Amino acid sequence: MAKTPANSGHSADPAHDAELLRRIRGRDEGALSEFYDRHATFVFSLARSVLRDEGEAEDVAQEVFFRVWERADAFDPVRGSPLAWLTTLTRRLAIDRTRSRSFKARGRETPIDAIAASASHEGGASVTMSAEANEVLAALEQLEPVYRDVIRLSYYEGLSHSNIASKLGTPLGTVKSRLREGVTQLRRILAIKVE
Amino acid sequence: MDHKIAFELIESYVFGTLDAAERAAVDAHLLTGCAECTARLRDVSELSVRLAQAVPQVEAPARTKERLFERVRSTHHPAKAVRSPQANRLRVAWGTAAVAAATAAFFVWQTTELRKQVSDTNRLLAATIADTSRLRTEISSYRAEVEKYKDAMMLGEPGVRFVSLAGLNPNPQAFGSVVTKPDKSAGMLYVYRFPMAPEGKEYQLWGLRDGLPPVSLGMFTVAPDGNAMLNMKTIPESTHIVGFAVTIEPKGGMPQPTGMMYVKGMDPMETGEG
Repeated sequence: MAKTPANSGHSADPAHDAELLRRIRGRDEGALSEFYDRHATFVFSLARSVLRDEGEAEDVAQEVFFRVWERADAFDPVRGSPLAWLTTLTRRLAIDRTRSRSFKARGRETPIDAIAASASHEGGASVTMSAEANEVLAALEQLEPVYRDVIRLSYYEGLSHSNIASKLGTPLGTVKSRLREGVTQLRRILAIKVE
Repeated sequence: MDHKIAFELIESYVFGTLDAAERAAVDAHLLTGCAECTARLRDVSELSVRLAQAVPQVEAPARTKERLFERVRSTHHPAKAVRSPQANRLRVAWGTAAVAAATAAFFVWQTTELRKQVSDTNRLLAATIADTSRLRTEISSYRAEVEKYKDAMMLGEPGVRFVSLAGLNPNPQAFGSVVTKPDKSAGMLYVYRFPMAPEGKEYQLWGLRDGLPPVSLGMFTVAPDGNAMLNMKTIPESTHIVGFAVTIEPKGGMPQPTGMMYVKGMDPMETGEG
């Protein structure tokens, strides 16, 4: 499968995305097509990282954009940017799928590390991580391991608080407080400013 | 949901790791317009975007978009175009031939639409048939479950006997109970937190008799969660049984216990404690 060119981190134009969502609410297929083209790689890659299965990720990506088409009115700018909404929607649908009986029975296709490794070599094209990706990975490295672990398990493994507590052998309350503190520290390192 | 609890769950809400009930509760709290939780939601959401950007970016297959638009078009019926006044005036000026052509075009369009609807209906019918078949299978498996518990429900009559089984070393966390009819002619065994039996082994339930060798009451295996149930439709030598025990034995069972005992309990009615 073709990879995006190196250093092509996903960038967003929140105002333009919001305008596309406004047109999608008016049943404008052209707007949906443009919205899809802008974010399909991002959505598919995110679903793939959670599900570790190309076919499942494809289904989730289709479902995400169909939900955008059907429920564009659910986007609330007070709660975040269109891309943030899309991210939450994608993760939610992908994680829900990992919890389905059939998915559990089948198991994940490939370990996450193998996917990351294959991304650099698949298709004969050498692909480096985008500048944004490197910045996030470097920020994660700066976190103390106790915070990095809960963020990794929660975000990249999609585990619930109780599953993380069980996996780390840590009390549930500690997991919650570490996750909150880890997120706060990570935001500070990345200097995320919300307008 | 209490604000403090909702606030603690915002990260997992955004990361998508809450279960449906927790998610609905956080949704309901956010709908109250809680400014602190909404601000946290916005902050964590933007971080979530950044974390998502760190995963290797791979293009979605081209067919994903095709499938999306097939789905969109199968559910989307565009509204009729609104004609301008000028178009209406032109329409009045049209001759009979134009009207006839438009009518013919309309019928062609209508036929195409009808064909499409028939095709959609056929697809829906096929899906419904598949669903019906799946539901039939589910109903039949539920019926089998109900049958399994019917015997247990029969034990709800007055005078039912209940014997607690306590875990023994090396597996003291195991426990269970035997419930029998008042005359002990039939009963059910329930056990919990049992280890899976090794290959070639099964658990065997014994009726313990005062001054006599134990009598076998049946074999069972445990589910992966460590629980098991055994339906004893008839209990042999029931009048002499004063207690119950479970041992691990070679598959198929033994005439007398040979393996490790996992749980044991005495009938308080028979030992004078009841």
